[in-house]
Parts: sequence; C-alpha cells; structure tokens
Amino acid sequence: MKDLLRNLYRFLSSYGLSCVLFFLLFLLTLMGTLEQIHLGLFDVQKKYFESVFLIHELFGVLPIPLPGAYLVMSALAVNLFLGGIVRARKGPAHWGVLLGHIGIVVLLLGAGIQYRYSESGNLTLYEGEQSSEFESYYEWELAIADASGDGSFTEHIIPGRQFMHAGARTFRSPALPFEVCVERAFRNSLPQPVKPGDTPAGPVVDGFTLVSLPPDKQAERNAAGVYVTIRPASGEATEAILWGVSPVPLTVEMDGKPWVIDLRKERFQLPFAVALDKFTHEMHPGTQMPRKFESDVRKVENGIEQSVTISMNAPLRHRGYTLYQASWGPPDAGPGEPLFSVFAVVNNPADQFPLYACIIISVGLCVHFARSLVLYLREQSEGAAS
Amino acid sequence: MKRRFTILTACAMCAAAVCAFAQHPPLPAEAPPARWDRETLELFGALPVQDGGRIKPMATLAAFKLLNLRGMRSWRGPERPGDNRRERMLAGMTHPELAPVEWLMDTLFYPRAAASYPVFLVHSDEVAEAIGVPHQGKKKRDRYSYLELLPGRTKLFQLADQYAARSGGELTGLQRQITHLAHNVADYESLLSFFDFARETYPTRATEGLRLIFTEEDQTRYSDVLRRAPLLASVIHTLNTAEGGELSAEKREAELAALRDLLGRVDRFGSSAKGIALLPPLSNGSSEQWVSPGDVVAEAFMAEEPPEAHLALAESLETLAASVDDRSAFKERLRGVHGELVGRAAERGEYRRVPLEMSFYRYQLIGRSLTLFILCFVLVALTWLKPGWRRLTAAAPYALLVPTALLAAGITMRCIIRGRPPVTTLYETILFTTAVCVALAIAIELMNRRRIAVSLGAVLGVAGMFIANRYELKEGVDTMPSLVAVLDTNFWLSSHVTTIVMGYGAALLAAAIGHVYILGRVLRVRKNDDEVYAGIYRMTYGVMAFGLLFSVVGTVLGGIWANESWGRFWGWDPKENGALMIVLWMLILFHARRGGYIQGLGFNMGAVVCGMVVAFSWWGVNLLGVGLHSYGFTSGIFRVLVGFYVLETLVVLLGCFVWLRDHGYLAPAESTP
Repeated sequence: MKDLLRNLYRFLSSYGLSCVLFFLLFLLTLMGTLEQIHLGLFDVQKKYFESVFLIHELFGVLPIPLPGAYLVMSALAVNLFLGGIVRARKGPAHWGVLLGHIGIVVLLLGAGIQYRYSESGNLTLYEGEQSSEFESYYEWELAIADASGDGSFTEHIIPGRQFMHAGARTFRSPALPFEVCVERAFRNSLPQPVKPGDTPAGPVVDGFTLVSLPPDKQAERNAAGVYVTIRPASGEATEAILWGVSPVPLTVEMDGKPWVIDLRKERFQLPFAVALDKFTHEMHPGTQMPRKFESDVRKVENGIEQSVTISMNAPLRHRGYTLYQASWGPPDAGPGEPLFSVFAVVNNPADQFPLYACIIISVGLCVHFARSLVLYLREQSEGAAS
Repeated sequence: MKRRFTILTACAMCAAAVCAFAQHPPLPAEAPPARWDRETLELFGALPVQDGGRIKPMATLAAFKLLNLRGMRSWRGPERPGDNRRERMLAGMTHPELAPVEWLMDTLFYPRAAASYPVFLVHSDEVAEAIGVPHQGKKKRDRYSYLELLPGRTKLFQLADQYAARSGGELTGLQRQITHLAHNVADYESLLSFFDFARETYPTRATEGLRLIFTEEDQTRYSDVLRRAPLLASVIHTLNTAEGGELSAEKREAELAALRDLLGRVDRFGSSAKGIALLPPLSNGSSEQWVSPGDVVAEAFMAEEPPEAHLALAESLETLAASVDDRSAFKERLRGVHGELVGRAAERGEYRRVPLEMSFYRYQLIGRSLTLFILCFVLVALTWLKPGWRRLTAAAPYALLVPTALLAAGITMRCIIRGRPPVTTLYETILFTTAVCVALAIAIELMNRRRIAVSLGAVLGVAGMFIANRYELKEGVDTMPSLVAVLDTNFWLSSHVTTIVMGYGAALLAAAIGHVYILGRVLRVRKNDDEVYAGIYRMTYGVMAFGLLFSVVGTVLGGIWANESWGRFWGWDPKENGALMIVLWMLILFHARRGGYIQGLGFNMGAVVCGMVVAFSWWGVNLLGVGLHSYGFTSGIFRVLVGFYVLETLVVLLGCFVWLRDHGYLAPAESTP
C-alpha cells in the first residue's frame, strides 16, 4: 500500500506527467483556436476548455476522444503543487523556480475561483436612466410575478439551467396558485405562424409554432424559446410559447389575479445603482475609427451619489463589482438623439490574482535565469582564463 | 455595405471631374511637365495635411498613395522635357523621399499629363479582361495608366458595386483585385480633379442679377462665389418668395436658372475637391477636423459667419494653381501657402511632429538598416571563409551594432512621432522583433565569441527587414495609423505588447540556433567536437529561457490588460491562445529537458517547433478573422506561412533523421553530445 502511494505520489509529481499535461493543454488550445472559425467562442469554450472529456473530430470526420481542459488543468494543478512545490528542491539555487511555480498556483487558483464564484453580464443604460440590475450574456430564467399589486411585487425565478437542457420539467411553489411545466426548450428559436397545410415539427399554440434554429456563432445573440403549460390547482391549463426576445411577457389569469410570466436573460442585483448622465464617443478626426468611449455615471448608494467616468481601460470598481465600458448605441443615432451605453459587469472575487501571480512569476523567473546567466558568464570567463 | 457606400460616395464625388475625361475620350495626353525643382518639392512635401485621423506631411500622404496604387514607394516618373538619364538617376537617388511628392504634384497640377502615367498596378491581366480594357502588349502583372483603364471604368465600378454586397471571405482573388482597383481608381480620380475648383472659372454675366452681385468681374473664382454665399442665399430666397414679385415670372425664372447654374458649378467642383484635408479647422470652433477646399462650400452656406480663414486659404490655392506654368511665381506662392498652413497648424500645436516625420522618411533609417544588415552578412560570411582573420571576427558583432542602432533610432523616431511606445501595429512588431533578435545575438556573441550568434544576427536582421519591407508594400497603407480606442493606453502598450514581442524575438532566435544545431548535425560539421554542439545547445537554452521569461510575463500582463478593458482575465480569444501556446511549448521543452526526456537534439528540434508556434501566434491567428483582436487581422500571407511551415517541418524531419542515425537505425551509432 505504502509503495502504491509512493508510486502514485511520484507519478503525480513527475516531469513526465507535466510534459503530457502541458502537451494536452497545448493541443486543446490549438484545436479550440482553429475551431473558432466554425463554432462561436461560447461553444468552443464549453466544448474544449470547460469540459472534462470531449470528442474532437479531426478534419471533421475522424473522432478522437480527449480529456477536456478542465480535467487537464485540474491534474496540472495537482502535478504543479506536488512536483513544483512539495517535491521540488528548496535550496537557494531553486528559489526562483519555486517562486515561479507558486505564481502559477496563484494564477490557477484565481482561475478556479473565477470559474466557480464569479458573476458576469451586462448593463445597458440610456442617458438619464438608472439601474441596479445587470443581466447575463448567455443564461436565461423564467420570472413569474403577481401583476395585481400596486406596483411592488415579488418575482419567483426559475433559473434557466434547470429547464434549458433538460426534458419536460414541472415547477411548483407554495407561493404560486399554479404549477409551471416547461415542456420543451430551445436555445435558439423563432416563433412562426402556422398556415393551413403546414406540418410543423412542434406543437401549435394560438396559431404559432416554435422553430428551433442552429446556435448563433455569437452565443449572446441566441433567442431562447420554451413551450410552457400553466396548470392551476383546479380549472383549465393554459399552454403558451415564451420567447426570450419578445418585448411583452405572457399574462395569465389565475385565481382571479393576473400573473405575468417572462422568459428573459438571467438577472443579477448590484449592491448599488448606476445612473448614466452622459455618453461620449469620439472618432479620430475625419475617420470612422473610434478614438474614445466614455460614460459619465453616478454611483448611487444609500442616497449618496458619486460621479465617476467609465472609459476603455478605466473601469469602475466598487464593492467587488467592476463595470467596464463595453459598447454603445444606437450606431445610427443622429445628432442630439439619445444614446445608450453598455457596461460589462463582473463580480470576480479573484480579480487581482493574476496581478499577484504576474509579480511572483516575474520575480521567480528573473531570479532563476539571472542566476543561470551569472553562472554561465563565470564559467565562460574561467574557461577563457584557463 | 460600408465598402459599397465608400465606392458609391467616391464615385459620386468624382463624377464631375471624370466628366472631363469621360465626355471627351480619348483625350490627347499632355506631355509630362518640366521637372519640379527640389525646393518646390520640399515645400509642397512639408505641407501639413490631416489623413487617417492624424496630421502628417504631404510627402507621407503622397508616398502611401503611390505605394497603394503602384505597389512601390518611389518612382522616378516619366521622362520630362530637358531630362537626361543622369538627371533622372540623380532625381531618384538623391532625394528618393521626394519622388512621390513629384508624382502627386503632377497629378494635382497637371492631371492630363498624369493621367497617362502608368501608376495602377494590376496583378493579373484577367482583371483587364474582366473590365474590358485592352491588354495586348502588357505583361500578366503590369502597370496601367488612368487613360488606359478609362475604357473599362464603368464596368469596373459596376463589378465592384456587385462584389461590395458580399463579405471579403466570399470573394475570389480576381474579385478582390477588381474591388481594390475600383477603390484605387476612385481615390486617384479624387486627386486628378482636386484642383478643378481652382482651374475652373464661374461666369457672372448671364443675367442682370448676377451682374449686380458680381459687379466687377466677367468671370469669378470659387472663393469669390463662396464669399458672397450669404448674399446669394438671400437673393435665391427672395426670388422664391413673394418679394421677388416685382420681376416678371420669366425674368425671375431666368435669374433663378443662372443662379442654379452658378451654384451647381460651385457644388460640382467643390465635390471634386474633397480628396485632401489641408485646411486647419477655424479658430472659433472646437472641431479637430481639418477640411478640404470642397468642404468650404457647406461652411460658407451653413455657417452664421463666413469662414474667412478658409476662404483666404482657398483663394491662395487658386492663385497657386493659376501660376503653375510660371515656376518661380508658383514657388513664391507655394511658400506663402506653406507659411500660412504651417503657421495655423503650429498655432494649434499640430505641426511639431511633422518635420520629424519628414526627417524619418528622408533618412530612411529602416531601409538603410536593411542594406547594412546585408553588408554585415557579407562580413560575417568572410569570417567563416577566413577564420584566421581575427580582427574581422572581433569586429563582426560591433559592425552588426551599426544597423541595429539605425533600426533602434528608426523605432525611437517613430515613437516620438506617434507619442506611443515602440509596438502598436503589426508592422512595428516586425521591426521590434528584429531589433530584439539581433541585439540578443550580439549580446551572445560578445559572451561566447563562436561566430554563430553574430551570423544568425545578420541573417535575422536581413530577414526581418526584408519581411518589414514586403509587409509595407503588401498593405500599402500608412504604417503609423491612429489607434482604436482599446489601444489608447501607453501603459499597457509599453508593458504587455513590448514584453510579448520580446518573447517572440527570443523564441525566433532560439529557433534559428536550433536550425544551426540540426543542420550541423545532419551535415556532420565538426562531428567529433562535442563541445561545439554542447555550446550551441547552451545558447538555445539561454535564449529560450529569456524568451520564456518574457512570454510568461507578457501573456499574464495581457490577461491583466484584458481584465482592465474587457472585464475578464482570459477569454480563449485566438490571440490570447497563441500567446499561451508559446508559453506551453516552452514549458514542455524545459520540463522535458529537466526530466531527462530530451537532450541537445530534442531541445533544438523543440526550439524549431517553437518558432512555428510563434509564427502561428504572431501571424497565423490574424488570418482566422475571429476574436477581439480585430485590429491585428491581416490577409494575403497564407501561402507564405504555409511555405514557412513546410520548410520548418523539413528541418524537424532532418532532426528526426539525425536521431535515427544516432540510435543506429540508419547507420552505426555515434556518440551524441
């Protein structure tokens, strides 16, 4: 048993394993890069870099099973920790390499924390608007609310990951007088009217059917759609099509109250509000090349307002959230027409880990290679002297 | 769609001017004018203009226009009256930076002569065939004049308009060439017709009303009409309303028709004078946009106050164009225009880098460094041919310092002109990578004196400068462009981009040393001298270590920059992946070496493969056309890249051959260092 553990330890901390894992990661990176010509970045990321296993089709025909980058990087983290830190020699001659390895561990740790705990999305504001919510680029949710109140209401959320990739699923809540059954879900879809004589592939609701479309290369452009059935405890069930791009939510009458059900991009709450006062975009004179995007915003928190300018390379960081200048529109707006600004919003607890890692790695490699250089020069001069 | 718009707009802009050619073809081509004297060329070349979002000398504009059209930066031009062979040679050699200025001046001031200059590079006679231009007597790839292309002009724009609706990837090579030629023809027409506004006259005696407005002249000039713009606008308004009722309907209609004719003429020639923005903005506005004489029409009719400064400049340009046949008067007036434009630009703080840019192109530091690298290569070759010539061997790395210093000076001048760190464009990555390669090679040579590093330094210097030159010719656009918003940060440009490019340079030098190792082993050069190969191996290792340091730090810095501007450290974007692949490959080599899986031969073969990975990261991913690094996309280098990969694969296979031979699979085993 002891031998087995020792051998396992040696294997996990070996240079051989490092080389194999680096090579696999190299291959995956190459394949994932080339594949972006055909697949969108989002799908490539899911297939090659966030997966445990995958099948790569060489030249589009020859299937090759491969470990995904998630698995490879996890194994690399173990190998790095055991081989590069625990088992590595610790004398002054090896401090540089040790530091370099520690830096990579910090980097991988940061990547792991980001993968597990970060939230990201975007916030779109027209000039004069204010919001404390941002929405996901890719993920969807079903929001259900009682619309009979005086304007304030409680939303019941069903996250998209619970129904987008599963078969038919029914959701119940004691707070709701009905159950929601998601019969079918499409990642990218288009509702189309059914004409007499048509034979639609899916069910027809109110003369419309939901046509499944291939995923868009830019995943944020996908328009999800679902067939839902709303079943009250007693009475007749309502069938409906919900489409993510529809500007109007579904309204149903249940127990004498109107309820709204909306399929929308997943929303996250910011611990403060942001108001866009002015958006400025400048082109290089006489060209259509953008020179500057800049949003003058007010950060509103507990009634206290603070003016901040967000521009490319100068984000707003506050309470763990970072707002970056991402985009703007409408592109064809004339002079004086209102503009909107799009901010990428990220909540990443390991935001600064790469910076720490960079410093540690730089110091480590500088120490190591400077030492090697000094030794080499000394050797050269001794050789010349002799 | 955008391209379609551009072509259509350009066509519309030039329509008036082209009428002069299109309505009366075939025009008797005028003989080329007399050669411009050097002072005139220098004055004209130093005029500040706004192009591509920045202020640059007219000489730079001329050089890149000519490069884009003709595929060459300089051109001695046609034979001129009084020219002899020696003068032509001298004109081309003594001030080569002025040759494009001479061409531009001919085009602007003698359009009928310039229209017969063969300036359009047509890459295939299929293009001429497709647009119906006779190409008998021409080579397959040849240069055509505007007059030669004129019969196919309509067809050319029709085809280009059809192709504009498709994306670049859907076009065949021929279609892309047609589109490019259409762009060039439209651009050229905007130059041919630029001074038409000044050459043309505007009759003012057609009606009594016009005679009252233009009291003294029979014919007037563009600037005079624009000076009276408020009055003309008021008269038109009056004639169109009840106040014009005192005149009979017939007379009123005649007055309106005369005014319409006059203003239509001004508008038409104004539209054809929009090709060059050489009038600085008015001092009362906040605009940074320079305008062309054609833009003054809108200013004169739309602005509350007449744009007097621009009208005065337009008038100066009119008198300049009018005196073109009296060269001494022309020079005097050009001096006045130059003084006025420079003064205004200087007032706005926009002129200070223009003289430096003139000097940059005059000294031709980048081009001259190529010549000196070639000389160094010859020098180094001599050291191999005559190993006993010790002084020559000792001098070689110092000699290599000269072109490297020239290159460094060129890079520094570019930094000052742009107010940017050394690397902001693909072109600049070539310059900087070459400088890093050669500087490292010199440093290694000074350390070990084996002549290998200095030889590789000379080879890489020549190769780098040759690639830079070819890239500049292929792109045919200003190599100091304005930067997109995300690149507008000197901190990250100087830290991440510079670092990563230093990594490229080191990896390429390591790959070059790897070639020496493998080819030496294949050819059994000094086959019994293990120390030589051990020394080369140490060089590869050292340079690769330098490369690893910069590649890792550069890649992580890139992630931090991405986090600052896009909100994520790593997004698996092709350019990011390319950088990661370099790092991963280097890590494989170092860990495999450390684990004893590879030795000298394996490490050097790995270094050669590392060169291929760098080529993928540097150029290959730009061909994919996807990702956030869209400012680095390029095209037209696929075949070159494939050729490089084939060659490098052969070198790696030769390495495999050596391994098989060493291990007794092909011949009796030999000792391996």
